[in-house]
Amino acid sequence: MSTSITGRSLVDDLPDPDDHGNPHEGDRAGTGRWGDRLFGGAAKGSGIFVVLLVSLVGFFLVIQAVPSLMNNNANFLTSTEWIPSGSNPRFGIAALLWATVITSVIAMAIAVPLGVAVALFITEYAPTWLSKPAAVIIDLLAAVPSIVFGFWGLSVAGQYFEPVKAFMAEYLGWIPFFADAGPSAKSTLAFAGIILAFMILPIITAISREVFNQVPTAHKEGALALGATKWEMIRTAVLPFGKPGVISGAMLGLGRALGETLAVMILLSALNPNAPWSFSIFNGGETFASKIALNAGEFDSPQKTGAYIAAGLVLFILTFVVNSIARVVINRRKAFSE
Amino acid sequence: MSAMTHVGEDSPRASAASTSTGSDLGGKSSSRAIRDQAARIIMWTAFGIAVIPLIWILASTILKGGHMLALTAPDQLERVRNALLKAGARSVYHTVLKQEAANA
Repeated sequence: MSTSITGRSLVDDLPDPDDHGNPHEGDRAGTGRWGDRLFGGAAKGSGIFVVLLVSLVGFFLVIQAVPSLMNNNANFLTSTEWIPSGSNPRFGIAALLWATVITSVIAMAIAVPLGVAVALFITEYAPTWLSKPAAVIIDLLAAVPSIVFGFWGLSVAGQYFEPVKAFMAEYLGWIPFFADAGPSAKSTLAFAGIILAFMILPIITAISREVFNQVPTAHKEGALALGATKWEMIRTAVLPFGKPGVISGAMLGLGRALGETLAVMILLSALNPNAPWSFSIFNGGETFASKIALNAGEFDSPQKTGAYIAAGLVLFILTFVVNSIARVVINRRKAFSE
Repeated sequence: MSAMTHVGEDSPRASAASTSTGSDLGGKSSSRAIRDQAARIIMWTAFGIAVIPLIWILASTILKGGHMLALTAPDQLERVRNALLKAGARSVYHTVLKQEAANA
């Protein structure tokens, strides 16, 4: 069963019985009626409005950030310092970028396989009486506010991560990535990533589930008829068909993980400005969003505000790049799954 | 043998082929059945893991905060009033002043 089923069948090549040889008018054909023109104009206007809005947000961020960046005396991309005010402003995003990316990567590493497995469970393995309640239960996770996740992580679940951290730091601590940097387990990047994973899990599960439900029954039955086991049927018929959807769900989840503010702000312990910075996931830190939210009350000068807006601009670009990459990947896979 | 039986449930043809052609194909089918069974266990476990935080959040919220819901607003006001009376004060403001004086 190494050959994958791509989703194209012989039926697709048969002539359409309703097609009497008339030329197709195309998707853009309109009837010229008033309702059509109104709907077309509204759709076009909405599209332009959204693009304009995103462009204006980007333009605003650039305009506000540039003066601060011009006054910055540190390398904005590589410095871990954050002293945005005073006569010698020095600030950089290296630490913020690391914390944002590593918490999101940990969250994705846990949530994507788990979310896909849960979606497969709901669509393929769960008995009929359980599949709908199971979907509702997983969707309920999305209804839990992020403040509750953060508070629950800090006051309830965090203590159970302490032995995990101690174990990993003892046996893998020689790797800088796992070195114990001091903060309690519940205030580390690793634990924030785990909590983020549960926050993005329903997004990935819901989208994957919808896509897996769209897999043509003929493909699945064809695989089973050829002697495939259920897992082989999933591997050869369901997963290739659902790959673009899984990627879309993962990217939406990543978008939420990158921008999540409250839960991360509650959980992570900010590092002392003079503390040495490390690559460890058992270190504290601040993400872009939590840094901006935590210091929002300090936006008392254009220089300081500009520094935080510059950090926001990087988050904006990061999210934009991630979504663009996802779009490219999905478009490449589209031909394969259609 | 139980694994073979399981493959047979999903794919009678594979099972029939493996039983008719001897031990070589039988061995392959057995490993396929094990993989199939492992996938089934993984999917069920994944669902269990995904449900844990929801149940845990619900349970801890109810256990740690549920008893507060049992008190109605008038009940709580009554409690505060009794506490103030016990402290010998006529209002919250007086209680605070008394506390500050005691601290000083």
